[in-house]
Amino acid sequence: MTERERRKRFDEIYASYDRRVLAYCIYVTSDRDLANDVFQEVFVKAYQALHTLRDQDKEANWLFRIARNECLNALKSRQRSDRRNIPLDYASEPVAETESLATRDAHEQLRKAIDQLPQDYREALLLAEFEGFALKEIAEITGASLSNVKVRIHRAKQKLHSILEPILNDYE
Amino acid sequence: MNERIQELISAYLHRGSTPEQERELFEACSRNPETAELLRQHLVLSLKLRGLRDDVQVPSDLQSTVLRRINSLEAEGLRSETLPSATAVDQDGKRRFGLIHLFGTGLATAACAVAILLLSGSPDQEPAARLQTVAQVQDTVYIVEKDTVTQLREVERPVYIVRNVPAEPVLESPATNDQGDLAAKAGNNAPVRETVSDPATQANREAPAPVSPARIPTRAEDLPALAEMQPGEAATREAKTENYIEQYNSMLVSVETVRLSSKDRIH
Repeated sequence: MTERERRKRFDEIYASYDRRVLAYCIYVTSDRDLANDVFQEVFVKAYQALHTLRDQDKEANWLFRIARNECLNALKSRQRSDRRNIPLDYASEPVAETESLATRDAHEQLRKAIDQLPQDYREALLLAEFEGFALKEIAEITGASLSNVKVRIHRAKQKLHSILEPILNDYE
Repeated sequence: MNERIQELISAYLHRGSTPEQERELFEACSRNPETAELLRQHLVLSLKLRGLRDDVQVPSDLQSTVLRRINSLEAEGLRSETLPSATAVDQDGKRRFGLIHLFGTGLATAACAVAILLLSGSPDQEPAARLQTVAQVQDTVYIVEKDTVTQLREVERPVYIVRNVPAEPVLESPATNDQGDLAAKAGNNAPVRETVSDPATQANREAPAPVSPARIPTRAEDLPALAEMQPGEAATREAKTENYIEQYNSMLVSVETVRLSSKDRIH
């Protein structure tokens, strides 16, 4: 792969996944600044490791595996540096202009509910629900067993359901 | 709600269910409204989570930062494509012969040959001039190996690819009068050196070429770079370079007019 081919391929991947990767980083790290840093590293690593992407059909798995590793590394580094876990400043989150007040409220509650989940539950849930990965793919990305992934997602949803029951019941 | 239903819902939502499991789930939903409600809530949650994801926008400054970093990496990559890399692994992750593997021997050979040439040069040559020559030659050594010429470093001055052939007339470069003077200094009795592109010497290339003392120019701007072969390796190495020489002969009017710059790249 020449440098130009590599760049072309990267641009395609970036255009397809930039928002999704950033969303994943934000919700896994629960820290917007950290997520921005991780986001940069994910795409730099992806560019550097593009030659390892053999199967085009699995580019999402490949990219989110990088994203996951970078998120975990960043979280570990933050723990090591004793950095305070700053809650995500949702007020500063860019929101779609069409988003209504009610929707924003609902999203706000959902974000807070996700924040309350243990990290491994949250990660599995985000991969499943944000990205629509199959359970088997999540097991590959996270390195967990299939049954473990099922349990994590199930428990994450149970917890979200208990927190968000009013929202879920009001949904038409 | 029993675990079986939870499992069926989870598998259904995450593309893990078989047609039989889906049928089982839908039958359960039609029999039991609570099951149907649970499935609905799961679907709503999934939709809301997707909506949350879709809210996220990449700030323009973050996007610029990422793309700037990628541009910089791309530029580095393009540079390394232009000039042969000294590393053993290229960007595709394929093993490539590095300088040490492929040209290490050639480099050592060339260095030895240059040293031999200098030591066997004319006694008339001043030690200071010899040292100057050593420095200049080391600065622009090119190694010929198999069918490849590797540029060891960027060269911004004229480069001459020359080699030894026995007992042939000297082809003087019109622009190198100083070299002629130097030849006189370096030893008029020395066997001559000829450019590889001279058609008159094609036949001689087939035979192993003995190492001969060279005339070595001193003026920096006119100084050629020398690709030298060690005597013991001359036959095999010359044979290996024939292919290269034939290819490049067709391109070169005279090797002594060739100028390689940092933009030149020969594979």
